[in-house]
Amino acid sequence: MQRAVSSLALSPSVKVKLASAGFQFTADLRHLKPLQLSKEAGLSQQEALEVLQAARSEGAGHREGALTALELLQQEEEMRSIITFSSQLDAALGGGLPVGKTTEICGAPGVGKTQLCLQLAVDVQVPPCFGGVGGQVIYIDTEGSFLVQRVVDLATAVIRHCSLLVEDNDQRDAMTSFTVETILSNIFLVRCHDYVELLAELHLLQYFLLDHPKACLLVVDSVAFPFRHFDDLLQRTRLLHSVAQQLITMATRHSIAVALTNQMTTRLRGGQSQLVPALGESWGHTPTIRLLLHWAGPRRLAAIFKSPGHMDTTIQYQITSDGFRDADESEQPQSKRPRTHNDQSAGSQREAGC
Amino acid sequence: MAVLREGLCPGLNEDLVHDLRAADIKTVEDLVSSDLEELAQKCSVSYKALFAIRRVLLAQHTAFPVSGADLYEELLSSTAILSTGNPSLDKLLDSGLYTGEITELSGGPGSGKSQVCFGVAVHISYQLKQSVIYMDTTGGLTASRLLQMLQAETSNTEEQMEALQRIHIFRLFDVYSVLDCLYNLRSGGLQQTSVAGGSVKAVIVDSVSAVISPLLGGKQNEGMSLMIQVAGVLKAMAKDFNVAVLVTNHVTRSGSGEVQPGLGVSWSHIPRTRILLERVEYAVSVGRSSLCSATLFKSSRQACHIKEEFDLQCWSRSKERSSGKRKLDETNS
Amino acid sequence: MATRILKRSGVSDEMCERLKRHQIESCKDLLSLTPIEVMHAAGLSYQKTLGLLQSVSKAIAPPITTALEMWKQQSNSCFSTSLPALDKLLRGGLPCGTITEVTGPSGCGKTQMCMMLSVLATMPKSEGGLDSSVIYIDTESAFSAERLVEIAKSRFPNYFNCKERVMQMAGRVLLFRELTCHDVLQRLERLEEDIISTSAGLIILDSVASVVRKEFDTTLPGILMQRSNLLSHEATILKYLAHQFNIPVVLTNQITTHVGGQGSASSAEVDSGFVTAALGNTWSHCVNTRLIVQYVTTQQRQILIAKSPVAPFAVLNYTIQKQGICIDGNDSQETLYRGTDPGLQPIRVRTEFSYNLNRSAD
Repeated sequence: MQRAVSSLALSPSVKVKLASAGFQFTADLRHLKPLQLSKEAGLSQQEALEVLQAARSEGAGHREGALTALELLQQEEEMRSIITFSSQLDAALGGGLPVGKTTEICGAPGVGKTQLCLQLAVDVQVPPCFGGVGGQVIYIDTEGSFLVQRVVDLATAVIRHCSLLVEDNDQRDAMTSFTVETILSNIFLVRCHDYVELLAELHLLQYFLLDHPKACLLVVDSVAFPFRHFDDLLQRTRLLHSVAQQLITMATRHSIAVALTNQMTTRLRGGQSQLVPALGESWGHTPTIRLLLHWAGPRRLAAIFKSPGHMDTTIQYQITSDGFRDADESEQPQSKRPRTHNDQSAGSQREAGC
Repeated sequence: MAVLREGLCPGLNEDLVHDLRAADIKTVEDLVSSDLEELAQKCSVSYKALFAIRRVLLAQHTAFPVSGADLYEELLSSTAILSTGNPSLDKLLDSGLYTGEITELSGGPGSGKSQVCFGVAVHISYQLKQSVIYMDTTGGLTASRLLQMLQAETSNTEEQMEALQRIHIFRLFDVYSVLDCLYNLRSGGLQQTSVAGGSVKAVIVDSVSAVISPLLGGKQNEGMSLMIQVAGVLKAMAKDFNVAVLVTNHVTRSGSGEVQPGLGVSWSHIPRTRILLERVEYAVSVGRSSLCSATLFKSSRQACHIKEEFDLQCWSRSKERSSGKRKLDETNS
Repeated sequence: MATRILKRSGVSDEMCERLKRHQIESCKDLLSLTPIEVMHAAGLSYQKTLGLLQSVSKAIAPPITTALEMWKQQSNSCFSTSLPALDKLLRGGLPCGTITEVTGPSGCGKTQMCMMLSVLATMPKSEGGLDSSVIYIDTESAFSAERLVEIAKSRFPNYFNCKERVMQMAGRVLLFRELTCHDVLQRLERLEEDIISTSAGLIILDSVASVVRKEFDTTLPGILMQRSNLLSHEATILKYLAHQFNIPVVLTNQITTHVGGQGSASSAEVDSGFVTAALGNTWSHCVNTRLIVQYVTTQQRQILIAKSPVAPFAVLNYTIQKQGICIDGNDSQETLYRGTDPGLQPIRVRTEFSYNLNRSAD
């Protein structure tokens, strides 16, 4: 059961030196001291120490990562999803945006991706006694579409909605600290101008999350824009895959939900042009859940087209002055946007909803 | 090969090791492949002594030849075939997953690879009552989905819980953690896990391309070496512990626009059997279907390019119930 | 942007030398590599590589603020357009730090709008302006100084009552004429210096489409992607400038015919196309706000808010007069319309003359 030295997380040049000195397996290193190793292999003392630590650390962390499916189930049941205020979308996602997973929201321009992100940024702060998560949010804006006036509107609407639901003292207490100012102060905003700043921010984010344990949501709006005019497409794919692994590591380790927005791009396939999610086909593997927001004439539809836990479904929604909501004809006088169609297709959507 | 040290064999004392090292002979391999006469002159050591040492070292380090018949006997007695639970997939795999081999499942995003992995894990854990090790590198594993699938098989909660306990999950997101975990399992962790439930019969890695594809390409070839390491330890684990290894891979488009499994030519030699999954296209207009078509891409047992279709929702096909959530049709005008 | 060199980002000299051998000199070079490539170049173990990436990231990463701090700096976050109905819908005016696009058929009023906004920007804050200079990049040679003065005198007769004020206003509008894509891009890359030296408060690019369409023929393979790359690059630079200086950026765009009823197939046209904003889907993503101007009759026109982070789909009627754009109707009236994808929103063009509707890419 020998482990090759080349599988350790060491620098390539160190591995080459070890190989030429004849150390092929970690068993060979077992009984050595750092000074001896550094002499035999021609390494610096620091490097020799690193090598020996890496060789000895196997076996120690074995039991750490293992979970049985039953334990994972219990963990999942304790984690709350982040509600979106569109009951149909929440139902289709099984309660809302899942924590511990990455969700990609892709869609045509103007369809509501940023609106959904802003809604989530406000919804994540709803206090637990109202069914929310009560957490903070880190919002990475790469497009400049984060406008505070809009967030204030959304926050006011959510506060109004919650005040109407107050039933007991806990909720009343919670409402005193649930104001527009507190909501705004719990949204950590970063504006990244290009992909290098975005990558730098992501490298530092794990330390930020350690300092802010209440953070429950990370929004990147959008992950596509800074990578659109990248010259070397292969390098872009590699970087994006690294980013995806970083994000899922953060999501799992710190129990946060990650929401990414993606744009659409035109792809010419055999003479016909199609709108497909940007960033390439291999990017499609990386998010756990993919939501596609699209237009059907004047209607806005959200389709879940990748989700390991749920069926693919399509629901209709609308953007009102209060934010991201279900498309509901009965609410027409309240909303400022008469968007819903008076046709039977909307009705049939509802009857098939979960 | 091992480094030459004193005490490795009688006659090899410290001075001799020192002299040999001065002559640039550091490992057993160097000694065995060098010219002993020349060496004897250079190190001023007797030729006879060197010859004797070489004989002992060779005896210690060579591999023994095994006859084909013995190998065959061993294979017959140790290989097991694990049914995946889905009759169409079993047909494609020549009755199931073979232990001692790596089977690869590739497909585009959302084509159902993770669903198939869940189905296999649930079937092995519930029907065959064996333990499964599931390595999730993408975060796509939700235990509630496993529970859903179990609920379609049985309504007895205790049995469901037992089956869930036999699935051991590792969530690792970079290649070094995956390597650490695999090596740990290989050097004894596997037996430890087996003590809990039945013995481990399957190791599922979903997906192997998520941790390996950021490593390939660019101005370095470390990544390729790491990929081969992962392949090596998976194969060794499969052979030594008689487990079936199932990995998932992504797809890329070849120059002519055809879909093919990812990770390149070097990886393509590693799995014994490769299957390509696709969502069935014609049904897409009525909303995305749960129908998949699987094509056999590489197999040492059957003719390639045979296709089978199956429904992801009804895994065992014998139960005609839907899994609980109805589909919504996308009503486009 | 992130072109900081490694030496000044807390990386040791020895490491900088090692990285230089692999052509890695700036933070951008380092961060554009995956961790394993950095391990190879820097000769470090995995853990140490993550540490190196972290220290370099600290040097570049933008600061984290909260939305509350952003709200507290509310005072100068919108540029009022002097059209009260439009301002009300846009919650104050054109948002600073973002890109607003005005698109529509020719002759509908896009350049008029730009000139009107230029005049406004030069006026003092007490009159509703930004009290700053304006950088006007003109690619169509449509800018007319006489018209600028006429709008100023007719719209704000009380303010521009003497010649000095008119001259001062005209002196604050800096005109750059760029006629090729390359020139436009170069101008944008050097714009930072111009903005600082003139303390500009508004950038206008009229129009972004004309040069691009002249030089990129999207029927050829591969050109579409090049064009999208160029446009994304321009948008990135403009958004950076807009955010760093907290100023609004206004662009104009042209129209094109969209063939094939994909998307708005709900309308009666089956095989004929419809007119919509040019430069495609990618560009529609890049702009933050899109205002479409279109014809109703020869005189009557409309402004539609087709994409906005704060405003609903709304339509306002206007005419072009001596003083520029005049909105009809009273301010409290708010007409909403059924909008769709801003990249596919049909635009009405002039129909009363023998006007060739099927004018595709120039």
